Amino acid sequence: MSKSKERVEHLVEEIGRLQKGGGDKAIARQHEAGKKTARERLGMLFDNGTFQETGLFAQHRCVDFGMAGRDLPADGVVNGSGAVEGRLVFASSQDFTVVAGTAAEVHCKKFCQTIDDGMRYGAPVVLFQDSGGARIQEGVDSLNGYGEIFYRNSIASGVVPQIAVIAGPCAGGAVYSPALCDFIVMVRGTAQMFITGPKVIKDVMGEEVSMQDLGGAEVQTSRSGVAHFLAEDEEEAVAIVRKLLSYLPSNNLSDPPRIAMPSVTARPDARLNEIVPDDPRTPLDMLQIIEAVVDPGSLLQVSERFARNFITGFARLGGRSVGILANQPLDKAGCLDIDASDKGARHIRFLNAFNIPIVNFVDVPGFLPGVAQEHQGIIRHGAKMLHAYSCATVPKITLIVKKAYGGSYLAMCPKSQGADRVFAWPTAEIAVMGAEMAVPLIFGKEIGQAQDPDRKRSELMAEYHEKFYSPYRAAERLQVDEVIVPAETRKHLIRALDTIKSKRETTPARKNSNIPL
Amino acid sequence: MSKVRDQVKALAQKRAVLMKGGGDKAIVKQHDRGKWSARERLDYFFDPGTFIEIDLFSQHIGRELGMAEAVVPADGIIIGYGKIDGRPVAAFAEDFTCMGGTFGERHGRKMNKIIEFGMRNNMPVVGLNDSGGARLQENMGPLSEYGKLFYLNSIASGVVPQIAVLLGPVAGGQAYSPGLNDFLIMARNAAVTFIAGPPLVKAVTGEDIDAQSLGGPDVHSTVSGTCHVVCEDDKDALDCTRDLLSYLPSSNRDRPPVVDTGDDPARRCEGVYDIIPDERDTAYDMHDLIREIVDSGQFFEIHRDYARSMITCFARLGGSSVGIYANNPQFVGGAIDVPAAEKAARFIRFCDAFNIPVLSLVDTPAYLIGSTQEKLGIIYKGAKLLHAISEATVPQITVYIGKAYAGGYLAMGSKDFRIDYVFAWPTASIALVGPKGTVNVIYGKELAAVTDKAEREKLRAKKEQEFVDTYMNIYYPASLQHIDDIIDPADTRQILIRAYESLKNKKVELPWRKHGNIPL
Repeated sequence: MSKSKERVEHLVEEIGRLQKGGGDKAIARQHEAGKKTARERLGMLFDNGTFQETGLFAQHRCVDFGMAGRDLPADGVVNGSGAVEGRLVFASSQDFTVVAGTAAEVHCKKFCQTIDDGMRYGAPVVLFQDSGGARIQEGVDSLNGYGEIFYRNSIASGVVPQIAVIAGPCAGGAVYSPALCDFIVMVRGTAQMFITGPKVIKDVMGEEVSMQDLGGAEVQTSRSGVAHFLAEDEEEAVAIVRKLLSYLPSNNLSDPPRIAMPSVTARPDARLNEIVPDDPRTPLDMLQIIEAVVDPGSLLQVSERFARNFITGFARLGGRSVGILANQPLDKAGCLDIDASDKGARHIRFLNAFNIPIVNFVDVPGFLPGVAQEHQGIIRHGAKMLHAYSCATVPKITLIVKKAYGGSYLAMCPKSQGADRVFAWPTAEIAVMGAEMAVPLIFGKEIGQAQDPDRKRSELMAEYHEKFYSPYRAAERLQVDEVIVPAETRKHLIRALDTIKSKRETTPARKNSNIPL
Repeated sequence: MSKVRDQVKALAQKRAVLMKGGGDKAIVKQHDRGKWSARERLDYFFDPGTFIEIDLFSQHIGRELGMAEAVVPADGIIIGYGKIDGRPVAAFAEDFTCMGGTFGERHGRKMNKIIEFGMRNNMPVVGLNDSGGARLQENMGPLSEYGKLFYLNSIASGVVPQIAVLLGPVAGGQAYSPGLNDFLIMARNAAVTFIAGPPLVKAVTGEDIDAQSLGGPDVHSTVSGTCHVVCEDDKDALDCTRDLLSYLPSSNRDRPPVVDTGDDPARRCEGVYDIIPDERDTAYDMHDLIREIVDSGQFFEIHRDYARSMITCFARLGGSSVGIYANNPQFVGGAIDVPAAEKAARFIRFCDAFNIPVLSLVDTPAYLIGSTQEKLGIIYKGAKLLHAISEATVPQITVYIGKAYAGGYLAMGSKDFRIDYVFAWPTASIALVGPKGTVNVIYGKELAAVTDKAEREKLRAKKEQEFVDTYMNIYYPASLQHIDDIIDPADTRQILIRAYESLKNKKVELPWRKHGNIPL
């Protein structure tokens, strides 16, 4: 055999060996744990045959604590690029079969390269997490590796979309990379996220808590709001990522892809004319309205299980990507509270960063009153919504379905927050506050002095209702552009989007605005 | 008398009437509440003789619900421009003596006008708030002016400093304006603020609570974190505001003023030797350290009583402003919890927006652990601090003083975040995991193989000591270039002053973006 051929054969052998990561046994264990391997995950993510690996031959160089000479294929992370629906995406995928996918100097460098490439070539970054944490043998070098990743996540933020998929443990410092990404998908059962695990918590604080209760997918998607999507299994997790990417531009200098939908017409929908209940105490289901208005089946909710009084998501209108923000009166009467504001404000800022128009559906009676909310700082948290809308320069469309009271109305993007188009249904009620609240405050004296206070109160309520409780007052002042027939909402929104799609707006030069945190 | 003289006299009379706001009786009432009138506040606040008023003759717009006949002098708000220490500042003062300082449409327009004025002319905007909230009789008018107010606060954010001084109530939606400002100062004697006041809270949730307990300065400065500085009364609050402004540039196009503090830049700070305890787990007050190092021992603290394991303050080094964020081992051992991370992150973003160099003083065991923090979302809330130090392009210096472990080491500004200088004292120690954890993981098998318990513990102790000696002394990370220099603590002051001097012309361009997507 020629020397060259020998070398080629050696290479092929090496590739085969390295691609097996920790080896067949470890792969079997991974499967037994209900998990796919790092490579299988990338295989599902990318369009067939498009994956190009980089850094397969990467090796660690630690000589401390018996690490010298240990062979760790690809240093426990698979790196590369490929196409998703034909568009370029960069990815890293931690390989749990190689020293538990622990993060160390070279391992972290590979993550950094993925993010650097994403930024340099203007493509989204997907990071699969399945790791036992920092590789303790490398000590400060591991720690600095994390630091480099966090720095890049932060600098790439708002430049290219960054998505983390938690498909195994993600503990300790490791959690901060996903946290700095735009979206986190967690897989039920196998995914865990916490800054310290149950064992340390038990040792230090004496508190007993299970892994899943502390940082499982259920908790992190519903209670803490850390993660945005809950997937039942890894197939679903990858499907979510692919779907999510379909709404997003590749980077902040591009527009989101538009899907040609010739068959989707701006059909009227007569159901909408009667969808708002007459009884003011019966809440409407905003989800039904959104789904009736956007392109069929196009709604993808974000953080669906967290702050359920507020809906955030992506959808399409006439084939164009839009971001959805909506009150959901089925929960907490649709009041805005701290969690809803945090959830909404971050979604607005993501949409703004990536040139995705915003469509708002409004039915909001107010900010949630109460001691707990005030003491947790609703003033600064609620202010994030106002700040985010005001500073967003993407097209903004607001539809007022029913209630739009006071400060909470302003927090849903009216004209004064820079909405390009404000539509209202005839059922809209735009006012400083509800009549029950306003009338006693304004006319307390008159009511008190009246011969029949109850009658006086209801008379005044009727007057207030008549005068202030319709979309027409606001329309007189140009706060509402058009009061529309609900059945025709879709037509109006598509047309408006078409009109304002090339919007250009500049804000004063500044490094960053000082949004409340 | 000539016609001109008559007209001038009439003007003087009109002016005199308007200058009294709600009139003598109302002013007496205001004084009885322990509050100054709006005009007294502005007179005290600005350098003498510098205030120029705008829109004294403005009148309200209300025509409905009994407003047609009402007289509301200047619509309950004074706006204008003046100087503080010779530098321009725009301000408004709500006049509680005129219809409770309620926010009518005109009132709102005036407030918005002065914010636009400040933004256009690159000067800070200071709001002296004292208002019963929205003027309900006007409905849509005030509502859309509120909207515009919030819009302007948001657009001006990061362009000119905005300071809200609460000298009375600010209730309802209006509270969001102070919430959008950079700093919120409250006077203990009269300030309260909440989105929904006690009657509404009672009606909706059934909770019985008084205004102070719901939204007084104590609550907002210790529990909610809404308030940055608590002052005693009008005078104290206005003094404080002037002091705060002295550390800030007029706008994001300027640098902060340089002040001759008379403190020797080369002064050695040997006092610090006695502040740092020999035992690593002994608590000490980081304030003492800051006092030793900065000019004249003076600093202006932000959020003094909130998230006390983290100190944030403005100070001067060699006459130039710096923003300091520092762990305080006196509270929770200096661990970083959710409020501490948020407090420091927003402070750093303010400093970055306004060209104020940042200094980090580190002594932290880590992010605070436990299921409470996890459920609060420390993962994404703690990440705000990492995001803030990453995107800041002002000069940044870190000094490692004591512990710097794990995520805490990174979050306080390690070299990986492009921190310009990372110094360490010989007392510092940096580690991924402490000796116990490390030895357990690495020598677990070896230890388990030793059957005799005493022998095993002896081996464990030996391994731990080896680890401490080899890897936890500060020379190890310095050998890996993670530390720029290890310095004599007493020289910290002069080294910092020289280091900042070398960074004066720092210019860093980040990739173009509208903004980063910092976790909220």
